[in-house]
Amino acid sequence: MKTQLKRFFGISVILFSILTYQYAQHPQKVITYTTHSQYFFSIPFSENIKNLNDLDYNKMLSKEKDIKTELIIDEDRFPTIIQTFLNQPEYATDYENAVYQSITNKTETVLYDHQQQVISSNPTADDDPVIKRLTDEEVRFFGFFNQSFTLSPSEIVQNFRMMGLTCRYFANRSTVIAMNNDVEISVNLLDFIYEIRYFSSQGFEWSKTNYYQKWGDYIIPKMEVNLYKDTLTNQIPFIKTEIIHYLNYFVTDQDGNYIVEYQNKEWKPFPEKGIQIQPYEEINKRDFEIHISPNPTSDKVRIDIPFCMQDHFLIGIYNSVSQLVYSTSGLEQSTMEIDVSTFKDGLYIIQCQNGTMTSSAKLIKNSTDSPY
Amino acid sequence: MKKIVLLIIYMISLWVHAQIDTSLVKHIVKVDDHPSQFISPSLLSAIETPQFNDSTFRRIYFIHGLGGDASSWQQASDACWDQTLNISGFFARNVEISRPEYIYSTLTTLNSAAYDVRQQIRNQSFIDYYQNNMNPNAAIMIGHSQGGLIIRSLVHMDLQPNANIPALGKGYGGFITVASPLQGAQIINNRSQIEQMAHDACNCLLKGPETSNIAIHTILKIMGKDQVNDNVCNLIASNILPLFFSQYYDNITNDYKVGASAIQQFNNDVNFTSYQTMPKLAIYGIEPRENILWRTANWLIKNPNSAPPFGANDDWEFFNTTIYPTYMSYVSNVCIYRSRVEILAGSQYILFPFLTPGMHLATLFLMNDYINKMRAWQTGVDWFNRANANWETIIGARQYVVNQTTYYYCRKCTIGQSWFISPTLQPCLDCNCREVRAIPTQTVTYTLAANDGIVIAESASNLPGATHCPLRISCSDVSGYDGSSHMQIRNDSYLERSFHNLFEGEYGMFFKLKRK
Repeated sequence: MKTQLKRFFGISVILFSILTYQYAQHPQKVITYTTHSQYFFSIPFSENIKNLNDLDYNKMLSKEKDIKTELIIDEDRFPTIIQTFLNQPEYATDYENAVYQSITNKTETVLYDHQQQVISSNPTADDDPVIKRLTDEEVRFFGFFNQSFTLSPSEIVQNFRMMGLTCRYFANRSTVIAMNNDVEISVNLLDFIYEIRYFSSQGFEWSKTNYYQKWGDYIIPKMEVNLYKDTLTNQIPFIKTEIIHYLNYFVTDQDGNYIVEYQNKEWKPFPEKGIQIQPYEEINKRDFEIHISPNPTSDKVRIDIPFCMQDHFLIGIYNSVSQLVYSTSGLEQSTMEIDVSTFKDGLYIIQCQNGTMTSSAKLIKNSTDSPY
Repeated sequence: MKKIVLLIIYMISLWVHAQIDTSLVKHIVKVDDHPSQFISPSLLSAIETPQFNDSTFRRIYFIHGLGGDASSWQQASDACWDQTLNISGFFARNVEISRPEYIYSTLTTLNSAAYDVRQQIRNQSFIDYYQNNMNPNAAIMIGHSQGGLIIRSLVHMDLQPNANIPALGKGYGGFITVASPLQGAQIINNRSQIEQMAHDACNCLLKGPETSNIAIHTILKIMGKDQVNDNVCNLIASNILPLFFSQYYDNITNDYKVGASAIQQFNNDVNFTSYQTMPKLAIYGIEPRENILWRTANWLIKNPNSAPPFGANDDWEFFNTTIYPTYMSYVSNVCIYRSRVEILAGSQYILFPFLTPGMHLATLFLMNDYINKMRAWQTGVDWFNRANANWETIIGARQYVVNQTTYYYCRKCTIGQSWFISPTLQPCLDCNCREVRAIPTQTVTYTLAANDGIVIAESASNLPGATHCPLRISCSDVSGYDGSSHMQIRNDSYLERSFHNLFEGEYGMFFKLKRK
């Protein structure tokens, strides 16, 4: 009897140890994806490329990047992120590609070189708001994006308004737009696009547009487009565009089983592009209303089309007795310039129309020189 | 009476020399017109009338470059005569060396510097002839960088009809340029870009630290951040940096800008027969492109003569001890913030709408904060990443060509991806895209030229009328050869090998020097 008890106790200890070991080896969730990043550059339409010098072109040198990311929620529900930089060094001391791996966990961020030697180690701050214990609910939904797109438009609008943002739903685009002085958020419920744009007192700063896709029951990332503003010589602004393609996306559960197993078979490497510079139109905050300038005017007037009407719109100019004196239309334009020099002096209403949406503004035509 | 004796001695000496080279007779009268070109008559009294003897000893004049002095060639020149240095594989020769300096001011030109050097050579040649029993016209001039151009200017001067060549001759027989911008130096044309690069560096490298240091950030914000940054960077770029690079603005450098008229005049010397037959060649080095700025800077900051003779070989010290650790501190910060952005990106959307709206907004602003910090540090990383390209651009080793092309923005596609950008129209049609927008695009390509970190090889090797091919040892010729940068070449193993081969006679008998 004693021997049996001993045997039972021994086996129990072994089984418990194995289970504990097994459990300890399995994080609660692992999200793994590989991305390929490309970079494009643009200067404003108004700038002549001849104004750039060779050092400016150097600002546009870029190397495409392949990064493998593993987001691991460990058994304590703390996130660990392992980023592996897949670009091989071109030569022995290629410092641009010196880092092979970056591992951030609840204690530190450690960088390794391609020989797995530690390059640097930085402790994680105790009050780090990101490297913190997640709730069970957060763990459950981590890596999936269904909840952002399955709410009804009115619920989303309500949520944004509770956040103190001005918000509208545009049914023709299936898009909710929310904004305040600094940030603009756009959620396209049809195409699963989530965009954030930030503005400072100097104007546009950066934007992050995430494109998602349906994969089985889950909504997962497909692509990301990031725009960053910078300046060249003589304060010429330029935009660096980073296009990140998700080449795969895997989510495994606590038992190591795949919940999502996505491979992007459509993506093909872009041909060698060199430096390409494209023009861009000024990135302004989206506006729900039509704006005109200058006002009063004697000859030309610039009309800023409300963003929600920019795909196709009709412009009508009415005089003070509501007679249509001018009309035109446009496609995919954010601004339009109209010559009103032949108009009689007086008050006019400029109306912009797209389907059932309309927006209008008053214009004063004054042939005499402005007193200013 | 004493004066008459001296005059007789002097005339005899001229006559003796005239017997040697009759082509110089016509200059004798002119020499009398310019007695200052010779040493003082009082010294003559101490000199016995020399008999020309084809001594095995030769003189080498080592002429320094921009910002240098007599010590610029110290180690290499000493190695040429001092057998006590016991340099393995390199033999001291039967030579005397001189390291002439030239009067240096912001007004100095190549011509005026060449005139200074010529006077010193003529004085020395007189001493060599009368006192040292050497053939002054067998002397070799070796000039580094600008020093090579001063030699060309000197030679050009002596080729002119009014050159006043002394009876003893020019005082040299041939010359060697080392890393000289024989067809001009683009760095001089682009010197204002050095300030631009510095201003850019200042701006880019300040951004990361200032965003992550709350105290600095707050102070700068109160003071008007952009204004402070700009003022600090202007001070560095416009006031401090030019102190270090002030020599690049000296008048003398205008004479060797690419396209300078002086260079063209030197090139035309090939029309003189006496120039054609004068032994001469160009030695130049090539620095591999890898971290070229930092490796060149290594021996700009550190005097190559601080190394043992021909020992200025390792050019990685500055990079390894200063640049790489700094770069990695920027990279570390980028990685720290990138990891947080990735975690937020993976969580923020799922948190919406589970978190209270206030927290969602807080998460968004946290993300903005991290992205701004990541960008700020990345700006520094980007600067490091393009620093070598910037330097190549400034020295003319990287040149851009812009071509106009068209790209197509294909939208609302029903096959495959909903939108994409294509360099041709066909994929838009194949994918049944309902909207296609042509985007005018400037495609910028570049060419790269081999260089030594300051001067491109094409310029440093192109010595018109050179009697020998330009001398360069490629990486494959020497085991472990790690390139030879502009400053390093004055005292590295590459120069050792070049001098050895030269003095052994591999590049003509004129340059062959007897071992001690």
